[in-house]
Amino acid sequence: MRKRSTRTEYTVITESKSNSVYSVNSVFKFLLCVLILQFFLCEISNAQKFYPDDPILVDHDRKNIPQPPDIEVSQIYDFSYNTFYKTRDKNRPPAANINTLGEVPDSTWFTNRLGVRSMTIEEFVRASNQVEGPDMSAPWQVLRGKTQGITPGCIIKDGRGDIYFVKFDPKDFPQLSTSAEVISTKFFYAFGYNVPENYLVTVNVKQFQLAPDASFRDVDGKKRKMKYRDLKSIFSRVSIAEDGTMQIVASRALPGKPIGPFLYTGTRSDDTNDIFPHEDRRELRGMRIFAEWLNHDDSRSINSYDTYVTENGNSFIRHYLIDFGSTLGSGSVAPQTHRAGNEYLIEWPPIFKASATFGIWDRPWRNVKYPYYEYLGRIEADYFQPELWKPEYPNPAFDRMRSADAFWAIRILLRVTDEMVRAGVEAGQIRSKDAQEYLIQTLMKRKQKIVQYYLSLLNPLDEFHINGRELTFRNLGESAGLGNPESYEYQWFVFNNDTGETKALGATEKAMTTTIPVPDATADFLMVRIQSLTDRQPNWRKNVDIYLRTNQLSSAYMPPGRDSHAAAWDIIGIERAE
Amino acid sequence: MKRLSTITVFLLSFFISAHATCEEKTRAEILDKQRDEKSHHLVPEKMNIAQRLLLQFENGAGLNYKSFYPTYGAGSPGAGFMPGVRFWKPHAFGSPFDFQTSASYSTKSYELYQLQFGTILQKGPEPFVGFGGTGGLSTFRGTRKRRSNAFIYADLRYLNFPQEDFYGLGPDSQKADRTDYGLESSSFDGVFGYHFQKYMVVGLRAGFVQDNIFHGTDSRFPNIETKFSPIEAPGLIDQPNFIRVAASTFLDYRDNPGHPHSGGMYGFGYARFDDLDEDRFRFNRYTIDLRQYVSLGSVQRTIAARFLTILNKADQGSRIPFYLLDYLGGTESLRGFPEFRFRDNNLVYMSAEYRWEGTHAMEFAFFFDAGKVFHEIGDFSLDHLETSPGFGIRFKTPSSTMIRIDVAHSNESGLRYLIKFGASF
Repeated sequence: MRKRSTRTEYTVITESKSNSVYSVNSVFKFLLCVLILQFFLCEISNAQKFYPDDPILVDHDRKNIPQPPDIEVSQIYDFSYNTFYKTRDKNRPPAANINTLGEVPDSTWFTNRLGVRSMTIEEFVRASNQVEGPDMSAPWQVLRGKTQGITPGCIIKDGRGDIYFVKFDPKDFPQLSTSAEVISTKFFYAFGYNVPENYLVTVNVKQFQLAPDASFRDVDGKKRKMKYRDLKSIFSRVSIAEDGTMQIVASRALPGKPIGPFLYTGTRSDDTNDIFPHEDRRELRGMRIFAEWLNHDDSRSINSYDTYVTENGNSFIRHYLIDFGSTLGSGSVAPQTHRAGNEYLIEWPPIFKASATFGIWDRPWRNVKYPYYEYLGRIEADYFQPELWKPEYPNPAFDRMRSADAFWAIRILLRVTDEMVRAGVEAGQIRSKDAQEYLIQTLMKRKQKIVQYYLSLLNPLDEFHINGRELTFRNLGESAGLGNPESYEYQWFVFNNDTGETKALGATEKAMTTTIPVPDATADFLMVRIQSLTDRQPNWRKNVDIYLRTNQLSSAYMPPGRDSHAAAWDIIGIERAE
Repeated sequence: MKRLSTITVFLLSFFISAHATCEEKTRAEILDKQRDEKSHHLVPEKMNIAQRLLLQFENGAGLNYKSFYPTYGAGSPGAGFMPGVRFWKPHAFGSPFDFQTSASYSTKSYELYQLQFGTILQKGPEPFVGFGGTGGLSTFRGTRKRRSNAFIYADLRYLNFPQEDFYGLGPDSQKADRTDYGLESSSFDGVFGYHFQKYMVVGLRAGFVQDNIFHGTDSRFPNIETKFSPIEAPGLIDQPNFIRVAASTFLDYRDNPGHPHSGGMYGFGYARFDDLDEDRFRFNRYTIDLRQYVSLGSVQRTIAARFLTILNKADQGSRIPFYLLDYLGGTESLRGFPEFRFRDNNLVYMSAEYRWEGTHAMEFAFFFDAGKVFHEIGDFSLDHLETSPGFGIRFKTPSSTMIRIDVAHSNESGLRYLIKFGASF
C-alpha cells in the first residue's frame, strides 16, 4: 500500500515536476524567440537608410553635462601636432554630422542663416550684436591688461556693467586689424557660425581708467596689480591718432563660462554631446571655403572659444569662432605677409626645392604685387587660387574637406549678394574710399573664383522641389556661368529603404530643362539619379541621387504648416558622387 | 498539442518583438543613444606633459623662475659652452630703471658676472646671446629702442677667462706658437646714449678697467711667458689700470636687424685708453664696421657683406697690451682658423655671404672670409689676406638667428666645424 502511495506520490511529484519543467521550457523558448527575433528585426530596422524624422533640421546636442574643466591650447603644440603628425592622416571619410539632404542641422556649433533664408542688409550688418556698443557715457574701467603675445589688449567694464575685450590696431597700421575683424565677423555670422558681438568704436585714450583691482600680465607672463604705466605701455604699441583717438574693437564678453578653445580634431572627451569628430563636421570642413574667401589664414584652435552655458535648465557647451583680426589684408600686427594663404609655415616641397636649387627656385607667390592701401594690408584676387589656398598650418578639418563639403559652403557663399559684400566692408569704416572699393572688388573676384572652381568638381544641381508631379532643380554652375548643359540624363528607381536596394523604373531618359516628371509608382520610396551633360564640365556627369518618400508615411513628422495633400512625395535625401 | 504551443509561443514573441525594444525609431533617437552611451564613458579632458610645458613657455613663464632666466653662450669664443643665469627686473623697485645681473660659468671654467642698472638697452627677458669677447669695445650689436629715446645705465663686469690663446703678434705668427694665458678683468662703466629717429644711435661709455694676466690652465699648450717676452707681448708682466672712454654711432636701416635681407648697418667708434699707472699704455682705437645686405630679386636670396677695420694708435712711447687687442680667427671672423689666431695693433676683415632660405626658419650660406692683421696703420692694405671659404646652415626665428652651423676651411687648419648661437653678422 505504502509502496503504491509512494509510487503515486512519486508519480504525482514527477508529473508536477514534469509540468513545472514543461513551463520553464516554454518560458525559456519564448524568451529565446523574442531575443532572436528582436535581433533580426532590429538589424533590419537599423539597416534602413531613412528614418521617419529625416531629414532632421536640428541636432539636439544640449544634453545636460557637468561643468568641464578649462583647457588651454599650446600654440606650439597645436602647430607641431598638425604640421608634423596629423597631416599624415590622408583619410577623408564623408562628413559625419550631416542630415540626409547633406545639410548641417542647427546645433551648438552652427545655426543655419543665410544658407536657408534671405537676410536683410540690416540683419546682416547687425550680425550677432545685441546692443549699440559699449556705453560711452562714463569712463571705462580697465579690469585687466596684457602686453604679452603679439597683440596688446585689455578687458574693460563699461558704464552699464558690460564686460568687453578691447583690441587695438598695431602702431603703424591704423584700422588694419580692427576693420578686418568687424568685417569678417559679419560674414561668419551670416554663414551660420557662433561669433562674438564685435563693435567698432572710435574712442579717446582718456576713456580708459584703471579699476582699483585691475590686474596685469607682464612680458614674463606674471600677473600683478596693474599700474598706470602698464596702460601707457599698452598704448605705446597701438595706433593712436594725433587727437588721442583710436579705433578699437570692443568684443562683448560671451555668455557662459569660458572653458577654452576647441580643437579641429577629435572630440572633447568630457562632453556627452560631442559625438562627431570635429574634423568630420561639415561646418568645420566647409569653413575652409569661407576662410579662403576672407583670407582667414589664422583659422586654428587658438581662435575658437567654448563656453559652458545654461539654457532651459540644461547646461552644455556652445562653440564659437573668434579673433578675425588676421583676415583680409591684415596679419594682426602688420599687413599679411606674402606667404599668408599661399604656403604653410612649414611645407616640405617648396623648402626642398628652394634649398636644393641654392635659392634660385623661388616661390611664385613672392612676386605677387599688392596695391598699397594704408588701412588694408595685403589682399588680392588676381593671383589667388582657391584650390591652393592654405592657412598658417594644416587644419585637420580643412584637410578633410571633400567636394560635397565644399558644395555645401559654396551654396551659402552664393547667397552673399554684392550688396552684402558692400555692406560688410562698409561696416569696417575704412577711412579711404579707394581702399574700401578695392576690398569690395577683391572680395567679389575672389568669390567668383572660388565658386567657379568648386562648382566644377561635381554635379552642381541644387534647389530640388516637387511641384505637383514634377521634380524641379537648379544648376548652380550654370547660374555661375560655368556652362550650359546640353541636357540632363535621369533615371528613376524604386528604393527599398530597409535593404538599400534599388530597382529601375524604366530606362534612362533625357531632359532638356531642369524639370523632370515624377513617375506614377506605388512605392514608399523613389530615387532619381541625375547627370548633367556638357563637354565643358566633365565632372558634372557625376551622379546626384535624390530620394523621395511618399508623404503618407511621414505624416507624423509633417513640418508645421505643410499641407499633407499638397504633393505625393517629399524630398528626404540627396547624395552627390564626389 | 506541443506543436501548437510552440507555434503559439513563436507568434506571440514575433508580435512582441515587432513592437517593442527595437529602441531607435528615429534619427534623433539614434543620436540620443550615442550621446547616452558616451555619457557612461566620459573622461576629463587633460593636456599631456608636452602641452603643459609648452604652454608654460608660451605664457612667458616657462624658462624663467621669479625673474631668473637661463643664459647661454655669453662669454669668450674660447670658453666652450657657457650656460648661466640672469636676473632681470624691469622697473626695479618701482623706479623707471631696470636692473639685471647675470652669472655664467663654462665647461672650461670661464666665469663672467655682470650687473647693469638703468634704462638698459637689451630687448627684454630673453636668453642672451653673443656678449662681446675680450677684445674691448670693438664690435657692434644692433640694439632696439625700448621705451624712450635716451638710455643711461651703469655697467659692471667681472670676468675670469683662464684659457685664452696667444700665437704672437703679426700676420706671420705661427700656429705652432700657440700659448695659453688667463685673463681676469673688472670694469666699471657708465653708458649713455640716444636714439635719433629709428635708424641712428649715438652712445658714450666711460669707465675704469682693471686687468690681470695669470697662468693659463689649458695644459695642452705652454704658458705665454714661456714663449713670448714682454716685447713680443706688451703688457705681459705688468697690467695697468685704465680709464676708458668710448664714443660710437651707428646707422642701422636693415629691414630686420636679427634676420636682415636688405639695408645696411654702419658703425663708427672711437675709444681712448689711458694707463693710470705707468703711462706706457696709452692709445686710441678707431673702429669702422660696415655691413650691407642686398636681396637678389627676392628675400629668399641675399648677399651679405661686411667690412671691418680696427685701428689702434699708441701714443708716443706707448704700446698696446696684447690682451686688449682684437683678433681674427674663430666663429666670428676668418672662420677657417682657430680662435684668437691673428693679433696685432690693427686688423682688416671682410666677409661675403650668399644666403638663401629654404624657409624663413632655415637658411643656407656660402661664405668667404678674408682678412689680416698688421702692426702700423700705414701698413693698411688689402694684400696678402688670409682667406677662409665655407658653408653654413642657420636656424632662425622671425627676429634673430638662433643657431649657426658653419663648416669653414683654411690652408692652415683644414676643415673646421663651428656651432654658434647668433648670426655671423
